[in-house]
Amino acid sequence: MKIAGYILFVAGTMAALIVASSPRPLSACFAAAAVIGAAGALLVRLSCAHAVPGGRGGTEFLSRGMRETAEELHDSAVRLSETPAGSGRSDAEMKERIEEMMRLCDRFIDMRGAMLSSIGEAETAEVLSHFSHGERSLHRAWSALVDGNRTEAEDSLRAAARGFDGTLRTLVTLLA
Amino acid sequence: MNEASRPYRELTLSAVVFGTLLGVLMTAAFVYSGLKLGFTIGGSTIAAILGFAFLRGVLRRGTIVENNINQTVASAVNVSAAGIIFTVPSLLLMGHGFSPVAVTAVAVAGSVLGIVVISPLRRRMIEVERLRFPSGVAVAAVLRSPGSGREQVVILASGCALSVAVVVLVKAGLVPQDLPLGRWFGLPVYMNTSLSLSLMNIGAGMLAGRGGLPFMIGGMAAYWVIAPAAVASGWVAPEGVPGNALFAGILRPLGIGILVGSALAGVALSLPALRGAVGRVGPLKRQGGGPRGGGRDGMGTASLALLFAASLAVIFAVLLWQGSGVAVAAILTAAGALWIVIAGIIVARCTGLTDISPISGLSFIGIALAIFITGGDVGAAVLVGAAVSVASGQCADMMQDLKTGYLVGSLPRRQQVVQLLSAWIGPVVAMAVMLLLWKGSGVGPGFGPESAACRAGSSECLSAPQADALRVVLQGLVRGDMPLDRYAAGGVIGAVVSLLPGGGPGVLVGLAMYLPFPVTMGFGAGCLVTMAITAVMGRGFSEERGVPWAAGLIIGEAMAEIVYSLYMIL
Repeated sequence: MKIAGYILFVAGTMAALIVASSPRPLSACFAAAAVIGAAGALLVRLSCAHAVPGGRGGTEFLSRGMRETAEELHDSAVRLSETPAGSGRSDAEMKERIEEMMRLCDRFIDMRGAMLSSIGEAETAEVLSHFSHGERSLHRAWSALVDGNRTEAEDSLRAAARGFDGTLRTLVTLLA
Repeated sequence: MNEASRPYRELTLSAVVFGTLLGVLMTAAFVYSGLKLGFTIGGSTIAAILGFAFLRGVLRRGTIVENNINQTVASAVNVSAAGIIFTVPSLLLMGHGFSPVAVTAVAVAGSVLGIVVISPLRRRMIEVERLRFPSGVAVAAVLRSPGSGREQVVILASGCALSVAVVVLVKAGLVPQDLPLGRWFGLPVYMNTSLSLSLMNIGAGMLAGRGGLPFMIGGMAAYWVIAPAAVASGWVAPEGVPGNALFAGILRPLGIGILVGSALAGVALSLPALRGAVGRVGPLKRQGGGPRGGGRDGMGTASLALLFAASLAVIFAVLLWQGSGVAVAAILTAAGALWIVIAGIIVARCTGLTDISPISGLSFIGIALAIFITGGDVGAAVLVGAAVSVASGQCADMMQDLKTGYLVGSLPRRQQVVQLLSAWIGPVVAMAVMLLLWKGSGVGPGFGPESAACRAGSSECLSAPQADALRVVLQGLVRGDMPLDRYAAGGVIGAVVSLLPGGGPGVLVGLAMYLPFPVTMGFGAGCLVTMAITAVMGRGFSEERGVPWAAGLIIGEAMAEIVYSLYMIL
């Protein structure tokens, strides 16, 4: 259905573009071509809405992956923010840990497309809204460490932990 | 108190003052280069590098987020230059009298409106859709360089050096600006198949990656499908290269129509999702699970609504003052505001996806709309055009800076506040410099017929190419030359493309049709390079080495173009 949708969409849109370039852009031919293109786009939209990568097993795998990544991010942020300055963990080590967490964030974001298919647009926006606050705070912690401000870095890590906690709680609620 | 426990420097007096000074200097330079060469350059990159040198190098206390504020202020000031000089001088060139105070007031109102209308979309574009904003990423790479490690800095610097070298070779005439691939393969001229050697453009394509491919497909549809079909059917002459019937009569109106149609349909289709997300995040925030324990990280809706209303009141009052009737002024203000919202969304999306924004095309529609409403009042139309142009520039700049801010961890509310507080400076400086150049001094450059440079016919007589082009278009509009049916057809096609999942690539397709094909090809080449690197070397390699390399390409060309403009001025 998806391939048929794409074929209709491309054929309809291309025909509409060519008719629109003629001396009479808005004609019955244009309307017919636009309707075919729209029908194709809707077919693609419908088939994508019902397709989850990997089927039901894929959804479960994804859900687990997202939950685990959010949990790992939350735990790492909490552990790092609770490390006392005199505990021996240097700023460089802390920065390295934050960079690892940034890579985890990228992994979480990679699942965004599949998240859209499996839990819907509004729900994905809600998850990402919390996640982004965690990620932004993580970036702030990194900047503060580079600038030598450990207090701000720890405050930002606590904020990041709250953001990832919100992500996790939202995910658990939505995927329940 | 040692540095580790000091409050983190972010919104500081030195960042704001230095950013304002930089912004004023860059505005003056951009007004001059825009009137002489016909283009301006994005100021964020240069402001970030100079701010880095001053705050960190000279004052020895600038932090990464403080420099982000400095760069936000500087670009908020200089971004207005293009909006003023591409619209207002057309009135001077037509001998149409106007009040500088009135135009400045409308431009300031437009500047504020741009920031106000785009701010609520920050979360959607940056956090949810994760638009790339290539220049925003490049500026973040500069700001983060003190902590990025030697290897990343070397990659950034080498990209920068290559880009500078190519600009030098092109300006020296040793390498062509566009590689004529079509001629090499024997394709007809109207297919316009060339590859732009702008490495900034290729770098932006690299940062966009696979997501930017529809942009190239849009260009191919325009020049490899529509152009041959139009020539074969006899709708345009075979020598139809951009600039004549093919571009001005077919591709540009279709492209702008697709941009507008897809943006409107995209907004309409994403409304339920937006409403749903806002409705769900609210209760979570109240439970303490929201961002920063329920705190607000952007400007509040009430403040934005108040500023929106105040800006509209200024535009309405100026239109009344300039002689429009109450009804016409009210309709023009409402239509102008609506168009600013639409144009702002389009420009911000285009900038987010490609780094290229169709500001002049959207301002042109604003002007055409105003001419239609006022029954041919060119003065009122250019007022609206200036407001739309300045507002669209602010939309793009605000989102670029917010993207940079996201990547370095700045607080968006502080960025929005400094952008708003600096928004009035650019139009005032740009208008003052433009009027000075119109009259010209005894020895300096000028663009008015009475300026010494133009009377003497010297090379310092500036041609104001964009404003002159707008003058020609305005005269055509007053005569009624506008293919409205083609714009409408483009709008329908844009809406159809937006029905595809994820909002569809309509904005990219429309933008590609509106731009010269060499630019589209260059961007597409960048996308293909990233896709190839990711496929062969993996995603990690692409992110860790490809991103700083592409950022370097963008920064290098921006710096080289600024230096070239200064060289031309001196």
